[in-house]
Amino acid sequence: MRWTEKLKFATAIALLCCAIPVLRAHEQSWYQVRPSPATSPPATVSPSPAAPQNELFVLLDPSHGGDDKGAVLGNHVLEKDVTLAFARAVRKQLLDRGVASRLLRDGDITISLQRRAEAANDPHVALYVALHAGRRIPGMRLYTPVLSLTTRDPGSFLSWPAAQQVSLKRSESIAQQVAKELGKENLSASVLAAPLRPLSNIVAPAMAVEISPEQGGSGALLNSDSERTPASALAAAIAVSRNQWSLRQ
Amino acid sequence: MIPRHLQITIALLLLAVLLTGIILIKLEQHEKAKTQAAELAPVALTAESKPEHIRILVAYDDDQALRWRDTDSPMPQDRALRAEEVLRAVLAQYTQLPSPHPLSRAAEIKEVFLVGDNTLLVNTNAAFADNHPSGITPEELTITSLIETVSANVPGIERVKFLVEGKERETLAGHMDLASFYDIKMVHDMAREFE
Ligand SMILES: [Zn+2]
Repeated sequence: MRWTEKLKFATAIALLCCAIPVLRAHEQSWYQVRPSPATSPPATVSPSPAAPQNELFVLLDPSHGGDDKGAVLGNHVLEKDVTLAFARAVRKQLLDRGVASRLLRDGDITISLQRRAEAANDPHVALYVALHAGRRIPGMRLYTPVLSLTTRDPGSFLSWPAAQQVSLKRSESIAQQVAKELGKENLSASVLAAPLRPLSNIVAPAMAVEISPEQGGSGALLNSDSERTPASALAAAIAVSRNQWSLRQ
Repeated sequence: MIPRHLQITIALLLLAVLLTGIILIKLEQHEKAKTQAAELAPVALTAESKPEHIRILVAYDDDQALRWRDTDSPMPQDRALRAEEVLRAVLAQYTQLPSPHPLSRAAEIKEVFLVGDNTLLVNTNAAFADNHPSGITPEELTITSLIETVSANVPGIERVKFLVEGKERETLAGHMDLASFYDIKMVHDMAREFE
């Protein structure tokens, strides 16, 4: 072997040795930024098939529960308890108005966001309403889903992150109508858009309703002249908007 | 006797190992220095940094509002580093006392990756999400103020995604989606609600 060939050979080995740590460093950073497979949702969700009108119901989801306390609303008041009490009151009021509804949880249990979305994608769910509570909420806040452009699908097969795409317009329209009806009851309600989970994973029309802890109690009056509570006002507004959410998908 | 070409090869190999070791030690020292500087000051001064007038969008819990605040900071030219610095400048407003929007003092922006020209991956530490106050509005204020600040100071960013300790998380603290990308236009709309 000539001297120059020996040098080339040695240089190649040295470069290889230098390259190994660099490649390993790149490999590590790739693992760090890659989403964890454990937290990734299922790849797809099937669109809801049509269901007979009489089987449709409103799914009320008292958000949080169990280990997930939600917001701490002061004086040992937890969001998970407020949302459950409010959901029960709304269910009773809906029943009085002949609107079928179910609670996604009826106790202090932990339910994952994925499990909530799966329950809401039952083909008989006509409207999904997530209930939240927050501090200093003037009136009620109605949140409609927001879909990232990245997750929107051009095709007919719905992906999990963009399942709401088929119902987004109706969700917005229903929220506007509910807010208008609440306004008639002297309860100010603003419609906002926010990327809240699990709204984006739900095929049916969906919205989130945020109340203040004071509104969670069934005895709270809207004003001195009215017998209406926030729960009854919301139930009445949902019942009035039935023409929109009871449509077949 | 060992052949001459093998002697040269072994010598070069030893040299390569030595150089690699020195480079790795230097890199580690650089990382440590960077972390310490970030702890001491919201914006770290780097060799390529130039003093600049920047605007950061700060959240105020008392009136549930977002307001622009002007500040002068040394800013790097590299877009990813620039994004990292402005995000740290916003977070510093929340982790210090008194704070208009208190977050855990241990909350940190660990690093920022620019993917292509327009996508930013923001990697936070666990304390940022684990200790974040739960609630639609507090979570929305944090996300909106961070992304709007990046958008104002790093041109061309179109979408942002948050990771926690390098991993995807479903929500920030039970409400705001962290699994999806945030489109800048969508965040502009969210910010308008807090004007
Ligand atoms: Zn909540």
